[in-house]
Amino acid sequence: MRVFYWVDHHGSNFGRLIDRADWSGPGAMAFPRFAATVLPCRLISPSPRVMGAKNVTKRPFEAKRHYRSIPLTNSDHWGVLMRAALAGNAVAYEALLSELGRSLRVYVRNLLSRSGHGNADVEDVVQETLLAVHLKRGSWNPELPFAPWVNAIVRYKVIDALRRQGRRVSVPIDALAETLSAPESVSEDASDVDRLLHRLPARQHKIVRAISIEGKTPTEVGLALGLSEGNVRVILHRALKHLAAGLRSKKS
Amino acid sequence: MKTRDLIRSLANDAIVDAPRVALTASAAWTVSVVVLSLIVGIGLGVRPDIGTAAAQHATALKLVITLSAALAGTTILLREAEPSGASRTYYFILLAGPAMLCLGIAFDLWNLGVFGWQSRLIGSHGLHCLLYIPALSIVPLAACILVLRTGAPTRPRMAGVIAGVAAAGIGASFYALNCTDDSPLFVAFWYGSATVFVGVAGAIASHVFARW
Repeated sequence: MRVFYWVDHHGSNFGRLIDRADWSGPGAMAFPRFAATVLPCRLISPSPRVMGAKNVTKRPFEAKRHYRSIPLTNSDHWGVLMRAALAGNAVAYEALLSELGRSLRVYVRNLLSRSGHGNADVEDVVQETLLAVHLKRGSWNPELPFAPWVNAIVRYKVIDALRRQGRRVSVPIDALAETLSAPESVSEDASDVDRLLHRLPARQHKIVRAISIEGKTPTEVGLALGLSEGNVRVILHRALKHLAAGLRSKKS
Repeated sequence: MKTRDLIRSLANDAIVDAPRVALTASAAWTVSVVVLSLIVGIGLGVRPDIGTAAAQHATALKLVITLSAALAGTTILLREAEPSGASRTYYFILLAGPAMLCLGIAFDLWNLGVFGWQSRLIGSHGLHCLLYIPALSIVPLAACILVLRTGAPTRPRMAGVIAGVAAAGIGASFYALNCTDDSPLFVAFWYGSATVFVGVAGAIASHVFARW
């Protein structure tokens, strides 16, 4: 498995991802002397402001808001991952989405417990939000930090989802302990996405199932169904759009 | 489906839909201007005394106010249509129109005196104005909501109000060519009420149509 490290340059908010394989073994690169901190990618690196950068946004008015209102993270290393993803790096993208998912789960669970809801729908809200981030990622300007954008999207989607759930029967929690951790909920209930998946056209359903649940690549799916890889990707994209639309119009 | 599984299919979807908000907005302006020019040119007609100097000055003042609302509204609409651009700091440019209107009212009261301000405020075609400005705003409002649909507004109702202000600005600019009531008091009252209506309509339309 490849491990990436996030390297912050000293005294600025620039940095980059470095593959660990480049540091060890034959033909290894010299350890970067300029690095102030070297963190495994999983950890959240300190905010650029802590690192000494004065202003991280181009728009002067938004610089302050950016740090005050972030429930999720305080560094732009997600931005680095997203830039890599937009340049076509699927590994970086998957890493980004799972990190986002983990943070989101905590965030949504806290919100739900604070508003007196149970934990049942956390995964649905997380999935809907991830879908929204995915489909709207073209609206992020890669020259700006990632956090304000993703927080705006997350806040909007989570509030939207909670408002919809407000009309449902919800189970109030008795103990606060239930809100503490457990990284992935292992409930075997059919999720909203599952229910919607059955309503997709047959080919879209097959492709989404094959790629997500059976873990196949688009090329393998294409071979199995007699389609080109490009075709499979287009159908997958359409299916995801349908799923998002279905989740949005979902009634209680 | 587990979230992990969903993420796998998201990671395999490399197609990025780039929202072309600015492009849609310019298309929206073009379509609105063409349609409204046709409506005013063929149906409604320009005021008959447009040639006289007094009418030209009054129309110019109204146009400056309404066009500033339209431009400020569109500028903010472009920011509201994007998730991270929704900073409230730039909202003050919306006040340009009302500020000029206040100057106009002060000038009007100074020149003509306070006496008779009620009749100047009510004017002669108030209800006509209240009917036609929202009617002329329908096309621009639809276009502005389309701009919001293209983007990803994170405050849909607020963005809808802004869309309404922009649309009412465009509609009122064309209506001003027809309107023969010249007092700034009239403009403040009737154009203002019409803008409020269109703003509310925009909020509702955005809530219904611009969700994502």
